[in-house]
Amino acid sequence: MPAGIGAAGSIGVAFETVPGTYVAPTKFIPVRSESLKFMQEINFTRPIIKTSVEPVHAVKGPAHIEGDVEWEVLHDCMPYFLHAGRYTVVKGGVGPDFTYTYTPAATAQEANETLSITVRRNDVIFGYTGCVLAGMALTVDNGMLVGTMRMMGRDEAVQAAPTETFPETEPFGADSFTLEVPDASAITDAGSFSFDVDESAEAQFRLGSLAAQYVGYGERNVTAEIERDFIDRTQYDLFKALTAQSVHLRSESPANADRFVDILMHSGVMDSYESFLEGQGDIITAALSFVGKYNFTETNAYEIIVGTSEDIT
Amino acid sequence: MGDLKVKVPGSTTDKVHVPGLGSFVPGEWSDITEEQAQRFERVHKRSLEEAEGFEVKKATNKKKEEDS
Repeated sequence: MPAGIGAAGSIGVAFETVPGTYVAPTKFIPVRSESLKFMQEINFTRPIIKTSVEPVHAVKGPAHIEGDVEWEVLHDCMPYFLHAGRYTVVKGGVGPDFTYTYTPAATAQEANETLSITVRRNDVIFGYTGCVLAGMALTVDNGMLVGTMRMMGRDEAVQAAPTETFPETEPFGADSFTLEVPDASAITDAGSFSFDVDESAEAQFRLGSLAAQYVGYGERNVTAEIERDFIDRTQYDLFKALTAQSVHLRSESPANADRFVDILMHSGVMDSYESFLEGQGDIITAALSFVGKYNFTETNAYEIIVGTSEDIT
Repeated sequence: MGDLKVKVPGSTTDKVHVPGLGSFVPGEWSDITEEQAQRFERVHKRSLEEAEGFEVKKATNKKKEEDS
């Protein structure tokens, strides 16, 4: 087979009926790049046998899947990733538009679904199984909402080639965003926004299986970063006082208000506030870094609501 | 009117792009030509009949039906 380029590749996902058992893809996701890989711990042994100072044996250790999927966030694809995250999911709507509300759960492993992720690379098919969302970064990058989804899974095997279909959905562009700090107070002095969730996921190995038995979740870290024009001391004083604020980014299709991704951090406390004189010609800005803490009223740290035409049953 | 009708898989009411075939709303019968079907086969290395989740049938010739 001749060499191939990324353009001819594809990524498809499907929810698994039995976690870890491959299901052919039902939804194909346009991505910028992916780095899913089979991670195998190899024990190179060095027993003393008189004549060798090299590894003598290569012994199989536990294996798992990990890697990132970088993509321009689409409302109809987002639920597939989030369903595979540590969330409680509530579906609303009767169609053709639906909402999916994701609130963080405190489970030790997948809360809802595991994914089979099928990757076509140069017409060779890789089927990754038992995949869950281990974390993600959602960033407004060059006026577009871009996601880096950190995936972790159990195993991989070659699979049959799928027949791809791709959404024609447009990414959220610069005319899509409303940023509010706190919630319901729109701000227009922010040049960048990023939101990060890390579930401290680790592959869990149990005797009897080379592949991970499941992906376990640990402590959750939720952060948001915003770069704003520095106008006055208001936010700086809130930083010094450890005053919690909500941080709310809504990305909504200008063509259809029912297609959106809505991120709301309920109680963000700034752990860093940086504003400097960086040069004669530089606008003075402030870099605000929020840590999302548990909100006793909302009973969680944040929520994500996706409005979409995608009907996940 | 195309030569064939195709129904593409999917769980959205928005259009999806099928490489080699075109743009379709999943779950709805759409007209396509034999040429489109052949192009699909070249791109996917399988026929529409063999493609998982796809349904295809011959388009009904309404005029012929009315005449008979």
